[in-house]
Amino acid sequence: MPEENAGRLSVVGAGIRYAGQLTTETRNLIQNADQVFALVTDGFTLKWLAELNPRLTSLQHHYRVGRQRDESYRAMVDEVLASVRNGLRTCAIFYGHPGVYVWPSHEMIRRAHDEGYVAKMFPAISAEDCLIADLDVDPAASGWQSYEAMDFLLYGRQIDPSAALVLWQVGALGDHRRRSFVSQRHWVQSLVDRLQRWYPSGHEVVLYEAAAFPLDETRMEIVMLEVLADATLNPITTLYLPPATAPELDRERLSHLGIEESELALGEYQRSRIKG
Amino acid sequence: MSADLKGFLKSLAEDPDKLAQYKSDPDATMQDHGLSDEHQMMVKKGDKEELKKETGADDAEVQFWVV
Repeated sequence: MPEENAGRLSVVGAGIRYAGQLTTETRNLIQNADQVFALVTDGFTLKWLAELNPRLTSLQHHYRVGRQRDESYRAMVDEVLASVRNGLRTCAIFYGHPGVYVWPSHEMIRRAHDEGYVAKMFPAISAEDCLIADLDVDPAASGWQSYEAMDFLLYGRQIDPSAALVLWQVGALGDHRRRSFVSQRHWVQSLVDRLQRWYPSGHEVVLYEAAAFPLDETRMEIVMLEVLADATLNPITTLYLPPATAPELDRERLSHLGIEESELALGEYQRSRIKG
Repeated sequence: MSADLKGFLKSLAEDPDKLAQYKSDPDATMQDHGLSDEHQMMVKKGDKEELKKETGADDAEVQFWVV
């Protein structure tokens, strides 16, 4: 069992936008750490984080085209845990929110706990948070479904077209061996075919990419679902599908509860959704 | 490496008002910050590789996916 003054692990997120989305608690954790590791997506962010704490090592060197991603992730976990075992206050920084669409962050906490170390994750701004703000949508209005695109496609998930749908990592569709970092057109077309079970022809979807750098523009490109396979999909592209239908009132439930539809006071947030 | 250019880009990232000011009047915003003519050209051109090189930022290949 580690001693009281043994190393400990804080897992934090840098947010999506360079320099502007760091929380105060995260800044303190970074600045007070003995050793910092970072997995971020551009050189500006890495440089800026290294200025907050020069004892910073990037974890990007674990990635290699042709190497299975999971092997890279396990190597990242091993490198961070070695620092904790050396008795250092260790801070691991991830792009966006450290717990959203990130496997190694959760795994390093699990393993640190198994070995008796103090390890904790702190919340940060995720790509989903940016999407909600930039597209001006509220998960409360229609409901919210969110899947990793390939997981959605291959496991035959069912969806509710009256709720919004977000599909992540569409730029990885077709990377079924998890080692190429590119999408394949026929996989994207297969996704379109599946989505057309629920969405009508002409349904407009949004290709979203948060602006990570101040000189960048946010990508909010509207395309019709049926031509999605012709669109440019980048590693950071997220697909947002607005609801296609209105939710149906469950009259049986109303009756069970002993109330009439006319007694229902709708919230303002419910009035903005598609009318049935 | 240019600390001045780096400071300017960081100020745009940290302050939405300054970013809005830059978008509405790039020349005046950069002049107010005291950027050199060469750096003003570089920012307006918006070539990230060039900006990275000038600010000393790591230009290593980066990947995005972590699941």
